[in-house]
Amino acid sequence: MTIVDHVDSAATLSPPPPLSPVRLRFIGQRGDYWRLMIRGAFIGALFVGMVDTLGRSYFPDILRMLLSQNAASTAAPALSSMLIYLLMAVVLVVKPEGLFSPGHR
Amino acid sequence: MSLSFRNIVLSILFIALALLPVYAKLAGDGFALTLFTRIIILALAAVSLNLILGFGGMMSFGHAAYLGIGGYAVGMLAHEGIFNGFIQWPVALLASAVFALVIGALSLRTRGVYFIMITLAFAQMAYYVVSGIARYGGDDGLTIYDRSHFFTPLNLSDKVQFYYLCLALLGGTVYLTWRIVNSRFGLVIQGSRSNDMRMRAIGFPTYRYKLACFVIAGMLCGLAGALLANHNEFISPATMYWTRSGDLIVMVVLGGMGSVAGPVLGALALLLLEEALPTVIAAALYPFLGVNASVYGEYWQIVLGPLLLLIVLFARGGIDGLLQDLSVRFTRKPRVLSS
Repeated sequence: MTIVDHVDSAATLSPPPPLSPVRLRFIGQRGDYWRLMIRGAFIGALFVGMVDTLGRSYFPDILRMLLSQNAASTAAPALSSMLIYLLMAVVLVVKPEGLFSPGHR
Repeated sequence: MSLSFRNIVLSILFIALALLPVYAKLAGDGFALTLFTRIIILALAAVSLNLILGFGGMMSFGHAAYLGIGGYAVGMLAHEGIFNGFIQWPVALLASAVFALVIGALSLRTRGVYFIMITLAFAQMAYYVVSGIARYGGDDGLTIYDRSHFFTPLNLSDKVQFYYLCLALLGGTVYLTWRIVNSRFGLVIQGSRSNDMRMRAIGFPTYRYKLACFVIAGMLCGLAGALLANHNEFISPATMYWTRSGDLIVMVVLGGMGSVAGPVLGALALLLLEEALPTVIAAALYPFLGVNASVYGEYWQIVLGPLLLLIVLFARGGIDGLLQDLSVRFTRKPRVLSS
């Protein structure tokens, strides 16, 4: 729905092109397709992947600096698996429609 | 209350549930009593989920968190030597209410798929927090050495008494849900499910109404959690894993969303299928595979999945909707033809 509206408004000079994603890329409207469909998923995936992996690697060490050795080693595995959910919750609380929502134009 | 087919079925079901301990005593079938206690407790949880999912349109994918929180409130207090039910159960309710208030206040800012994801996120966080508490067993769970103590004649360790307590609480919850749904409050909730913006436009602060509803549902599910912990005499983080939330949603959808009695039917159907399907599959495959057939019983979900699909595709109102359709078919009144 959103794409249709967007393309219609962008292509006022020429007749509206057929709306396959491939066509959108080839006729130079890649920017719109990227902005509307891919950008959020792409950046979100990178973000979640990095937070999860880096969290699992480094979070236990960070905890060990803050807490006692014993407390950190028991709490770390659970807390580092929790990080992606924490990230998701924080993002949705701050921006209820996600980071890169196309929004209401 | 009319004497429709559906109401007759529901009454028979209720009488059967009330008489189950008699059967268990006569047949010496202790397992049936345990199984049905579990079904009734999870039905209570499903009824509470239906309050927000079916009537409020709030698709909470983290409802099992309250099961865990209620259960852990009982388990942790028991671990510290407090067995008094008058302390354990209010703490369980209060803890679930506070959790529901916090995550509800944050989650209800979002809607649709974002609401599903954020409730899932909070429930998973609760899961991992509980898994990380080494003092209360962490991943391995927590054994509860004695059930909650109440006043003298009420002894939860007696299976029959505990069964009737669960049944009474389920009945009370269904009645409460029915009263809530038909009150002014419940009408606002249902109105906001249909069209939130319109409800706000005519002056209802729907956020507050929905939050109150979310907290009530959380508390009821916390009660179910306290019962579940008492029933299993064990509580583990697996109780609040997201698959359990999924089970609760399946119960609600199977039984009929937005029907007060639906989730009870759904819980009965799902958990009885879970018990019966392995045997049925093994029996069906026996002529082909012989003794090996019993191995395939564990793939009972292969049958359950298509059943669920059929219900979702062809019986939108779930089992309760089917019963209502049958009621219409069985009444002798001429049916009004739709133009």
